[in-house]
Parts: sequence; structure tokens; C-alpha cells
Amino acid sequence: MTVNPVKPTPVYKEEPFLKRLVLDFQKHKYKYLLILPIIIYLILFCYKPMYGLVIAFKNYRPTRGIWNSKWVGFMWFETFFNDPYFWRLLRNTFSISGLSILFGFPAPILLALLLNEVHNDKFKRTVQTITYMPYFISLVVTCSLLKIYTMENGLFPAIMEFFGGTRQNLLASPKYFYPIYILSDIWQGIGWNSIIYLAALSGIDQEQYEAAKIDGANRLQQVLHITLPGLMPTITILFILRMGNILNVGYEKILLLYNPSTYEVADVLSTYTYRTGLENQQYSLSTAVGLFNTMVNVCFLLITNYISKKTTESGLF
Amino acid sequence: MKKLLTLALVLCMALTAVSGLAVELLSAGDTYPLNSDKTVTWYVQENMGPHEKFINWTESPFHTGLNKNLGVNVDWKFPTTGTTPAVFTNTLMADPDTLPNIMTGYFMDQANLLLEDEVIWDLTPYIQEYAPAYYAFLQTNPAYDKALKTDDGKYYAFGFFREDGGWNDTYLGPVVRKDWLDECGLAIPTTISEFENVIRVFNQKYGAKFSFAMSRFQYNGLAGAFGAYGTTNAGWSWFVKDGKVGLGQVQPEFRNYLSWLNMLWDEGLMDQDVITLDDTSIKGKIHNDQVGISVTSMGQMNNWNNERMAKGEEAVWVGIPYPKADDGSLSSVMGGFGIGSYTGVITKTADEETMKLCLQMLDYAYTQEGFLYFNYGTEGVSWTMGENGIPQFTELVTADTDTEPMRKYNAMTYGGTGIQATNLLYLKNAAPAIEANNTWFYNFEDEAQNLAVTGGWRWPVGVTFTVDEMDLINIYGGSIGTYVTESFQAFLTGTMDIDDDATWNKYLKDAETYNLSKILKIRQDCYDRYLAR
Amino acid sequence: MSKKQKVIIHNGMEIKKSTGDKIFDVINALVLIALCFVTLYPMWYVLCASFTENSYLVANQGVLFWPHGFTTGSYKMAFEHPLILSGYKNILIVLGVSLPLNIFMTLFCGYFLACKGMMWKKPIMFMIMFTMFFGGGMIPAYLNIRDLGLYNSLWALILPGMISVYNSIICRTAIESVPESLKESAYIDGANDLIIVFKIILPLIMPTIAVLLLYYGVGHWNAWFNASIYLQDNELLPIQNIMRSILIANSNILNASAAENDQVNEFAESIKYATIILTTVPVLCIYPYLQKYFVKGVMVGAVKG
Repeated sequence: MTVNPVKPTPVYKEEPFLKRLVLDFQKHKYKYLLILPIIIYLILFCYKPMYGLVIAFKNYRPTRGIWNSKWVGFMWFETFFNDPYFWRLLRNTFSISGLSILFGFPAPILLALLLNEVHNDKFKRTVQTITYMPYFISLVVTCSLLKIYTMENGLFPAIMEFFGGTRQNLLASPKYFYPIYILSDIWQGIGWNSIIYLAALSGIDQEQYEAAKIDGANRLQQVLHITLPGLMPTITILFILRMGNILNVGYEKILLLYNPSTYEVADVLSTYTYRTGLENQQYSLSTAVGLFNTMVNVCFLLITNYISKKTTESGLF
Repeated sequence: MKKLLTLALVLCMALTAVSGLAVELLSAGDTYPLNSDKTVTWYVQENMGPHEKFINWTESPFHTGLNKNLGVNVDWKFPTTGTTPAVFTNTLMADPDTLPNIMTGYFMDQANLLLEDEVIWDLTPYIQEYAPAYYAFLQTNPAYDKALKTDDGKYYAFGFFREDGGWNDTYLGPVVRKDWLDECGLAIPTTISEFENVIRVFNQKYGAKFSFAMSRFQYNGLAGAFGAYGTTNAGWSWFVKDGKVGLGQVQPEFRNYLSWLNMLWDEGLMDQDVITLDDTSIKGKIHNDQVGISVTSMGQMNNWNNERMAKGEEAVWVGIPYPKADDGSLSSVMGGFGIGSYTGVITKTADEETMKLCLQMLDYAYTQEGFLYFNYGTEGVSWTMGENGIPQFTELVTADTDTEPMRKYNAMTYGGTGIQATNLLYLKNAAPAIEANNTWFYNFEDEAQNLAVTGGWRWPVGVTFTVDEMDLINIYGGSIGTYVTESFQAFLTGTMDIDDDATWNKYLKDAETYNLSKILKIRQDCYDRYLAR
Repeated sequence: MSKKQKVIIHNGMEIKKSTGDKIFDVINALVLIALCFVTLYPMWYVLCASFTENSYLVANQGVLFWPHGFTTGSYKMAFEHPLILSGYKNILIVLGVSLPLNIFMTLFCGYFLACKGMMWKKPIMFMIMFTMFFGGGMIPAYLNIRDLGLYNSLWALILPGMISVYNSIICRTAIESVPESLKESAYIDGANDLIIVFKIILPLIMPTIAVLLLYYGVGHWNAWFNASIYLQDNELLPIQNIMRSILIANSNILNASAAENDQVNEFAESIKYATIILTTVPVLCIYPYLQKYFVKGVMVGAVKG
């Protein structure tokens, strides 16, 4: 690693604030110029409409407008916390998210590493292209295929029976819901999600491998000492961002796969807001749940970021 | 012999429904065209939009024709193609100053709020003068008038009505494979015991099981044979009996029904996949001789038959009556009153003069001339009067291979602000489907008795919650639906023992945790106000 | 380093390959082939199903190795939709205008976030990150679009999605991996930040730029929700919305209002698959062109030299 050991201390450190401001702008004028359009964009399209968050504390009616709707304080939060299903929703959301982080997050990294070990370019490209395809099959179709394959006389129960299990409709049984959900998620996203790692891999200086080979390092050693460290910044950042999404489990796939027999394990926060919010147009309640989601997410992101900073000295901020 | 008689009676009833109009409508006289130079914006959320074959309404014969007939320059607005219509409407509503003058959508629930906030016009002082045909039509049936008013008697909307009075609201019911029935020498089952017997015989002889697309038809409508209510296809089964509002799934009769289903499940007579089946996935079973008796809709049964015929096989699926209890009683089947919750309102972006014009425009659909135009299009172009006095579509429609070509010329194929002709439904649906629906709808010869089982038990259309009540429902009512639906399946599959009294009592007790009584109270108040209208 | 040298070293390694290496290679190849099979089959199924007759399809679900009773009816039906050509045109316009904007904005943002020493960096960074979690929701966003006068124009699809914070962070990570010394020496040579971004950073992070192009491109291609509420004229809709409408019209699961009118046409099933093919194939075709940016490693040393 090439690190410039001694950073020249800015000369204006001791100057008065205003002077420093001017000096800072002069020194970094191009950097500020580059970020200016982004700031304008954020103000116009993100901050301007952000007043909408107050509807979590109001009883919002579209025709009354956001400002004229009645203030209700934390009523919607209370409604949500008092719901008999609240703890179940939270538990399920964490379970699904946790499992998909545990298994779904490393899967594309593994694929990228395996692909990296392939030296036949044509084969490598073919594998990449093929594994990337399922990402584009719409969930409606993926899930209807899944339903067919998991029916009592379908493909998967047949395989399970072959290995000594009993034949049953897998989606009707709570204990198979997570495996089906997570595995199909991995299947659908593994190729697409590995792209970013492949890009990061190609940024690794090839000289390092050649040097290692000359030093007699075997392939596992090369992976451990060159490839993985090279991927680490990307992995860290994506992991932190993923943790900042821990309560966001998309509702669409669950809606398509679950049924009353599996509500016990499959009903999550987003399906709850879908049912109460979108179907009944309860914008206030769904905004309140969304806000709760965000708060938990931010906490997880900050904690992960903190741990990452402590241990690897790299983080989001 | 008795069967033949019933059949003849049923046919007779069907025929009376076809010939002529069930109610007399006022003639428009020379009111139209209105020859106004105003431009009126008219938003249509769904159903009355232009056919998919057209880029926009300027190509649509119905909409351009209506502009001409009305003599008003209407600027039509629709949600864009492929949008979720309700979401599109809700975003529009967020900016009340830019609303179109006329809006058609689902506004009944919010009626009180919209009136209170002066988003829409209170039509009461104007309706008799400027919408005489509609007003006269509402007076023909107390149920119509009741549904389209608020609790304090305000008129605010133009509604959707079925001329058939609910025939098409019963669009699903039990079906059977006629060829197997004949092969086994069985008669069409009419009681629940006979129904069960058919399931057993089919299971012995063909290995077939009882199955249906549960994710779509959650409550398959067989509950009526047990005196239970709960035929709606949603998770909720609010019913009304003797003026009392109840929840179907907590009644003792419903327990008997569940117990029967659980027995079928335990004995392996019911398909274990039933839990996950939808309209698509059930077809694999239907077309591979794994199911011989089922519950489905007119359209799906028709699809099953058509798909068989496409393979060169015979169309064998026929509709059979909803099974009755062995003593011939029946409490409920899928059904309704023939009143839709789809309504047209006039917003305050229209000034008083424009509002009056809008009233006249909306009134057109309820005049004799407008009724025909909304159902069939322009006479001599898309339809002609048949010899029997019944409108028939011309070749322009019948020879058109696009999906539902009549939608290019009419507005009532699905529904809208107007009256849907029964004849239109007959022209739209295939003969076997119509036959099936007749057996599902005409359960009793006595008209009043029949209405009681089809629509009478249902939570009526047009009941309006107050603004506060709606909030309370939103606060308390979030999870009871989930709870009963979930328990239904637990009882069905035996996870929870339906025959164990302690389990059932605990279920009833738990329902209280989900605020059952509170919700019932709100609904009862609301229903009482409706009755008092 | 020249190409020749690299080949020699590579060949040298080939000779030294141990048996363990060879076994690993074989297993690796087998694992990847198996993965290919399970990912390819569903796509192949979708392709076959789009050419198969409806009556066969409904009775034999999930198993199809070859189109049965080859028919192009579902494609014909899709193409008969009057808006399909304008749909493709609109998405191309959106992509053409959006992608350059997206890439430059993301690059600028990533660069700013990767730089150190600016007094305003922390507040600006906070401002950027904040939007990743908090937003006003659908209705205020809609009203905002109306306020800005973007309603019912393609700009309403382009501008609100101009930059993704997530992608900017990915970009920042890539920029941070570029050795600081390159920047330092450029500064000494008198280059300003603009020159550094375009002349030094951009060529070095091409693999990441390719990924970003793909992320943004596929994002725009698949997006339909904004178009459905920000647009009023059907002629402006991008292809995904048109496909959705075809799908909805042919599927009573999505089409709740037609619940009681669920007679479907004879291609109802296969049209689902045809729409997937029609919306996926263009994206699949682009991929191989982007691939070349990250199959071969960038030689940082070569740039350095």
C-alpha cells in the first residue's frame, strides 16, 4: 500500500473562522463546484418534499392536505406498538433479514471468488451471463414457478422424498418458508450481486499475484492474502449498507409466497403496512411504521459502522 | 320430474330477466345535446376507460360519441395505462384545487369527509331538477335510494346498478365434471351429504380430491349449507342477520362448517395443496384428472372448458347448485344486491353553473336513450334491435377478435355510473357460464327468500362510516382479519382441533384481543344509521 | 509491464500447477456448471413457455424443455398494443439523457466524498446520507413534481432519479482504492480536481463505472411506479408500464377490479412469459459489452508507469 506518511498540516489552521472559510473555498473550489449540482438536486427533490414525514404524527387525509390534517401526536405509533402482532412482525422481519444477511450476503462474494479462479475467459463470461439472468425474471413468475415446484406432487417434495423425507406441500408448512425464501433469493440475485465484486476484483493490481506466485504462495494463500483484502473495502461498505436495511424486507415476494398457514413465520412489517396502509390508504400509519423502520435501520447502520471503524479502520463515515 | 320443473322455472326466471328492462326509465326527451360551450373535465378511475387498443380517448368511439350525444366538450382523464388506479386517484386527491370536475371512483367510504371538507358538491338541492331521470330511478327501489344517500339524507353521487339485481354479484359457485358424474351414475348433488358423497365416489374411482383456488376464493361458499355466513372472498365476513351485525367466523354454525372441512382434510378427501392454489396453479390439477368437483367463477369455469376444447377434449365442467343442508335450508351464498360502490361525484372545482351542467351530463346514463348508449353504443353502428326487442351487437363487435370488443363502444361491460343491462352480461358471457350462474343464483323459487340468501345477509353497499368511525376502525381493526383467516387454516389442517371445545373457546376469547367487540359495536351503529335513513 | 512478460510468467505457473490445483479447478468448474444449470433452466422455461400454446401450458406447469405447439401468438398480441413502440422510444430517451447525468453526478459525488480536508465535508456528507433513509413519501413527492412543472413530461422520470446515494458510496469506495500518490503527483504537476477526476480517476475505476452504468440503466429500465403517477399521457409511458398493462389485462391475480370478469384470452399464460422476454432481452444483450470492463484486470502499475 502506498500511503503518504506525512500529511502537510493546513497552514490556515490557526486563522479566524471566516478567514478559514474563505481559504477553504479557495483551496477546494473545484471540489465544491463538483458537489454543487448534487446539493441543488438534494434540496429540490429530497429536502423540499421531506415535510411529508409529519404525516406520521397527523391523521392525514389527502383532500385536507398535509398541513391541514389533524395532529395526533404518537397515536399511530401507539396503534402499531399495541397491535397484538407487533412482536411477531418484528421477530419475523429480523429472522428473514438476518438469515438473508447470513446466507445471502456471502453467496455472491463466494461466486465472485470462484469465478476469479477460472482462467478460461469464455467459460467465465458464460457463467457470468447465465447466473445474471434470473434477476430479470419478474417476481410474479418466479413465485408462481416456486408454488408449482413445491406442491405435494411437485419437483422439490419429490426430491425430498427420494432422500427419505415425507411428501408434503412445502409452502403450506411454516418450517420450510425461510429456506424457500432465502434460497430463491440467492438463486435470483447471486449473479447480479456478484457484479460489484467482480468489478472490485478487476481493480486488484495483478502484479501482486505474480509476486506472490514467485514467492511460492499457493492458490488458497493468494485468495486469503491478496484477493480477499482487495475485496474488503467493497465488502465492508456493502455490509454496512445492508445492515442499514435490516428492517426492509420487500413485501412483494412475501405476498406472493405466503398464505394463512405460514403467516406465523412470514408476516413481516412491510406486509403489515401493505395490508393496513396501501389497501386502506392509511398513509399516516404506514409513514409511522416506515419511520420506526428507519430509526431501527439507522441504529443498526451506526453500530455496524462503529464496529467496522474500530476493527478495520474503514467505514461509511 | 321435480328437477325438470325446477329447471323450467329457472329458465323462465332467466328469460324474464332478459326481456325488456326491469325498471322503466325516463326518456331523455330533447334535453340532449346540451349544446354547451363549456369544457368539462371528467376523470374515470377504472372500468369506463378506453379499450387497450386505443392510444387515448380521442380514438375511442364510446367517449367521442358520448361527447357528441351530450353536446358538451368533455376532456376525459384516466389513470395512465398499467397504473394501480386507486393510487392514481389518491395522488390526484392530494391537490384538491386541480381536481377534474367530475370524478368517478370509489368515494362512498369517504363521502362524509369529502362533503365536510367541501371537496365535492352536495347535490341534494339540485338533483331533482337537473338529474330527473336519475332521481326517478332511485325512487323505484328503496334500497337504491338508501345506498346513494348519506346518513343525513344528502345526495352526493351517481351510482352503479345492475339491472339483474345481483345476478352477476353471484359470480362463483360449485362446479363438477359432468362426465364423471354420469359415469358413476350419480345425480347432480343438491344437499351437502350428496356433495360429500360425490367427493368420496370420485376419490375412490379416480383418486381425485376436492380442491379449489383458496388464495382467491378464500371462503368457498359452502358455508351456507351449515347455516353459516362467510362466503365473501375477503378475509372478513361481516354479515347482518335480523338487524344484527356479526362476524361469520366466530359463529357456532361456522364451527360446524369448519369441522366438516377438517374431516375432509383428515380423511384425505381434500387436496393438501388447496392452501397455496391460485387460478393458474389449480389448472394443472384440473387438466390432469386430479379434481372432479370444485368451486370456481363463471370465467374460470369457462376457461377450463375452453382449454379442454383446445386440446380436442370435451367441455365437461358444469355449474351445480350451492349445496343445501339436508333439510333443504340454506343461509348464504356468494351474492349481492346489484348495487356497486363505484360512484361519480362532482367536485368543487366546478362552479355552480358547471355543476348543473355536470348533473345533466351524468343524468344521461339513467335515461332510456343513455341506458342503451352506455350498454351497447350507438344504434345501427355497434348494435341493432333484435326481433324479440332485445338489443344485439352487430358484426362490428361480434366479428372483432380483440378482448371484449364491446368495450370499445360501451361503458357498462364492467360497470360505471349507470345501469348495467342484464342482456349485456348474457351477450358477454358464454352459454355454459350463464347456465352455471343461473344455478348458483336461483336457489329458491320465492324471490324474497332468494334475495335473502344471495344479498340479504351481506353488509350492504352504501353504509357510510363517520370520519371518526373510520379512524377507530383503522386503529382497532388492523389485525382481526389476519387472525380469523389464520385460524381458519389452522382449524382446517388440524393444527388447532376444531372439535375440541376448549380450543374453540380460546379462539373466541382471543378474538377479543383483536378488538372484535369494539369493531362490531362501530359497525352496528353504522348499520343502524343506515337502516334509519 | 509489457504483455509479453505477463504471458511468460503465466505460462511458468501453468507448469507448476499441482494436483491439488487441478482437482480444485475441476470441482470449481463443476460447481459453476451446476449453478449455470439451475439459473439457466428457468430462463429457458420462460423462453419456451412464451412460444407454447396456452392449453398445453396450463396443464403441464413448470416442466418444459422445448416449446410445445410452437406459436408466436403471444408476441403478436403484445406487439399489437398501440403503445409498445412509443414505450421503447420513451425509455430510450430517458436512458439517453439519464445515464450521462447519472454517471457524472455519481462520479462527482463519489469524488467529493473520497476527498479529505474540506471544512464542509462533514455537513455535506451528512446531508447526502440523510436522504438515503428519510424521504417525504409519495404524495409530497408528487406535489413537488407538480410544483416544479415537471408533471406529465419525461423530465419527471429523469430528474428525480438523477443520483443514487447508494451508488455514490460504491463509487467512493472505488475512488478510495486508487492510490493517493497518483493524486498527489498530479497536484504537484499543477492539475486541478476536474483534471484529476477525468484524467486519472475515471480511467482507473472503469470497472466500477461499468457496474454503475448497469445499476442505473437496469434501474431506469425496470422502473414503472414514478411514470405511473407523474405522467398523464399514455404516449409518454416507458415500455415497462406498457408491459405491466398487458400483464395486468391478462392476469386476474393482479387485476382485482376484474375479479368477476375473469375471462382471459387464449394466450393469457404465455403472454406473461412473452412480456418477460421482451423486457429482458435488451438488458441481457447489453451485458456482454459491459463485461469486458471487469473480466480483465486493470493494471494499476501500467497506468502508474
